[in-house]
Amino acid sequence: MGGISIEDVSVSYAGNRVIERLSLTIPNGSFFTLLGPSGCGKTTLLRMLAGFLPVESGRIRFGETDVTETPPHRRDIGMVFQDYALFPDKTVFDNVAYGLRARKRDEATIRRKTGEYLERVGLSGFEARRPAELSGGQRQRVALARALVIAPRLLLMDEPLSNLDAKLRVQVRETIHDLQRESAITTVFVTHDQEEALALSDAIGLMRAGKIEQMGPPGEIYAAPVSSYVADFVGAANVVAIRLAGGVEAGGPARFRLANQDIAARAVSWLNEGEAWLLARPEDILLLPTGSGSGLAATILRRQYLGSRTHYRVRLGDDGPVLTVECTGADHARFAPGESVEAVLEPARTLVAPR
Amino acid sequence: MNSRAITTNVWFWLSLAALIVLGVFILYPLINVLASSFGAARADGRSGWQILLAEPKYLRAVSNTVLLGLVVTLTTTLIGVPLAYVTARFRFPGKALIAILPLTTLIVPEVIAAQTWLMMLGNNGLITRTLGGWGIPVPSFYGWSGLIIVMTFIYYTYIYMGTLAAIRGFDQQLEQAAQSLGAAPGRARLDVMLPVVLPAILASALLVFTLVVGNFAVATILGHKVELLSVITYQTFVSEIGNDPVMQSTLASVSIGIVAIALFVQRFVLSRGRYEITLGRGAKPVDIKGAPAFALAGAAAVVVLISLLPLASVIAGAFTRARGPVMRWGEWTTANLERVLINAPDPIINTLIYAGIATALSLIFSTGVSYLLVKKRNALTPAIDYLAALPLALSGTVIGIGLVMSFNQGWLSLTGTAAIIVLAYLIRRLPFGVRNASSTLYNIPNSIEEASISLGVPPLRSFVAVVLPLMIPAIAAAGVLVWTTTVAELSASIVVYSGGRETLPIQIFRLIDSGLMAQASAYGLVLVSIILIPIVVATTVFRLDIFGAK
Ligand SMILES: Nc1ncnc2c1ncn2[C@@H]1O[C@H](COP(=O)(O)OP(=O)(O)O)[C@@H](O)[C@H]1O
Ligand SMILES: [Mg+2]
Repeated sequence: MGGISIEDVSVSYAGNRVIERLSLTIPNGSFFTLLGPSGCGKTTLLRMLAGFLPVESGRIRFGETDVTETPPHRRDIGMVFQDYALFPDKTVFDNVAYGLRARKRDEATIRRKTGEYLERVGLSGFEARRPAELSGGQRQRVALARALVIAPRLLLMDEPLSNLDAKLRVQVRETIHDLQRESAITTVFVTHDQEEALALSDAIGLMRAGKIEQMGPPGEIYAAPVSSYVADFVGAANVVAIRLAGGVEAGGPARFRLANQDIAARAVSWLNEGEAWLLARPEDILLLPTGSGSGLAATILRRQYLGSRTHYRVRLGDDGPVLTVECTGADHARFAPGESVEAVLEPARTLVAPR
Repeated sequence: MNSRAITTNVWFWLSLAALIVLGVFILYPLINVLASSFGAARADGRSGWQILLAEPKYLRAVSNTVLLGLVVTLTTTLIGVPLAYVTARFRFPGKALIAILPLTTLIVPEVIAAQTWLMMLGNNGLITRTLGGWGIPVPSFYGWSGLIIVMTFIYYTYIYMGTLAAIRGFDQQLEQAAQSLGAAPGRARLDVMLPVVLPAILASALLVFTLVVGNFAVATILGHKVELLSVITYQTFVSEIGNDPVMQSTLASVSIGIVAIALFVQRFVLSRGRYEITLGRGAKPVDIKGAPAFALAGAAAVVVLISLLPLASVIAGAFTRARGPVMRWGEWTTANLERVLINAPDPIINTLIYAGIATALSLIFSTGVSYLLVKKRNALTPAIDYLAALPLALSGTVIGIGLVMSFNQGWLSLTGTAAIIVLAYLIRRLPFGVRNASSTLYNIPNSIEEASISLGVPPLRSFVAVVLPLMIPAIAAAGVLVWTTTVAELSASIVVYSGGRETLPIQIFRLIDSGLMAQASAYGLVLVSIILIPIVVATTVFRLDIFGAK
């Protein structure tokens, strides 16, 4: 079977196009994350997969089956919502058993499976409670058990962690990770939090204004962003305006001048001569004492000591751009404000993207 | 057509069906009323509006009605707002008494309030005759004084409750912030609190004005020589019936116009200031002791006692021996009650049946319409929303006349049936039912229903399985309120009913007209019990928050 595929799909609200001819394929059993800022269309895409929103054009396939016209209750999906969406008048047990009852399983199976999944999310013994008597983290675990116990064809989660405080968020995140890997249920997870996306996903689709800007495994998205937008959204990045003297092919070395010094960097795609963006992650810039001879002349403007690492603000040349640099390792706080240093931008990890 | 299109379209067709029902039973009668006011009268070919402008009687009725509306709005505000402020901000002995205020307006139908005031202060009233016996002359209670006093004490609780809710929601910190900025406490209160509470006061004042303009029972029983629109409209209707519905339509249109203008003025006033309700922690009531406490407690007690007077009088009246119109105060009997319960129970049975059917239908219809309004919005939603709220602006008399004019003959002939009474009830209570069910639905997130659907339960079954159970307490509370207000309905039902289908309020009204107060009291006591028993059962046995639903 070919996984979940979205083929050339467009969605509009009252004539306002929100998803624009979008296509993507999610392999069976994988954990796919839709990542992007608020309003870029993540929820819309997810609700369209669930069947709550009709598509304007295009097809959706679950494996061989075309589900474009299938109503949500016949799509065999599990959903986890930001606000938990537990049935407040039903007990934890009845909440989790709800989907099994809808599927007319016999009472013994319902009892066994519900018990099994409550144990998996660490809530054995909470069967008789009502949602109001649970903490936020516990509620979301119940919701997770409720969605997974029916072993759905596709699991959909819309920002399931964003109502939880920081500590719980990490705990529930781990539960989601473990359960998804054990059950190998194909999962689409929506978030605007890049850390969640990087931590959980097999693949990330980074969205921008109703389109997928870049799709790939977390490492690739992080290390090889295709645009300044991606680099800026995933992890921190220094984005600096530069001018190229000539065109460069994708992956090729781009040479340009910055703060009166020559620099080389890798082109993320085909680049024309003219304006472009230089992308460099703070941890990919190395600071050395003046006189090392291998870097660009720079001055420390500000130092922020953060324990395991130090963040510097550094000006290139005399009046060049200001970059953020993260130093780790021994002596990471050794440079003082006002000090002259050399900044090394490693060509392999410094990128140039089209403007 | 594919299956998705069909499932989305089901809601569209249901919306369309709701819109058609509302159009036929609310808009069509309204248009009939407005349109025939422009028709020519058969007698002399003049239109209703020409007659209206030519006859001083009609113009006096219009100005009297507006004047009465303004005066009662003012008096109710003068009582209701301070009472609300005092209750919200202070604790004093006997404050719990005030908590029963909302109840008094609910359990004493207007017709009984008017009747009992008459039994006390009318020409043959207990107080009038007692004082008269001592040589103290009591001014006539009929006319302006009676109208103003009785309507004030019927309607001030609307202002009281509306203002109280707003003050309770008002964050005292705002007031303190204004004081800390150097404003004097009195100033601070005016500057900060008034703009926040004013919309609530204005809204309840508009409601009172609308109710006074539409009031039929008190206006007819106490108006006497004061010509009022609702009374003249009804009289015209009774004399014009079957002939020439020109003048009744014109007068009905005038009262619609008055309410429309009041609504417009309210909107205008509210839009001039940027009034935003800031919901915050309400201030804690402050204890007051000593003389001011007694003064407050005394004033509150007087208001509450006057509000409860009708209840006491109807009980006394029901058990007092009477010979024709003459009440023999002090001579007790159960004959009146025996008579209404055993010999002539028809009005009781009619009321129970019509109001029972209307309440059940009202809950089903308003829950359905609200679901469409809140959860399945489409192009028809605004029209449905508007039509469902329209009866708020129409008095019972207008609704009744519209129904009679529209369903007298032809494809849907309802005159003379019980159905037209139930229909009148339904229309009058629709806005309340829809508002109540909608606010409940707004509080139930869509995700709950979607969770159920995603787990494999079809949409309609999901609604029944997970949404409806969450609505039940609110629906039940609304049911009790719809019931209590429906069994007391007079102004529309008296227009549409036919012989043999008298309800309790109609029968009581007719008995008052003939001066048979003891028997009217007996029916009144039955009516109050029919209202009170469900309230007591709902609040004590089922612990429903009925007044939260209001
Ligand atoms: N029901 C709706 N009606 C009209 N526009 C909507 C509706 N829901 C979302 N939108 C618009 O569609 C765009 C995408 O919304 P959404 O999918 O919720 O974004 P995200 O989940 O990424 O924050 C936004 O611009 C939003 O304003
Ligand atoms: Mg969203």
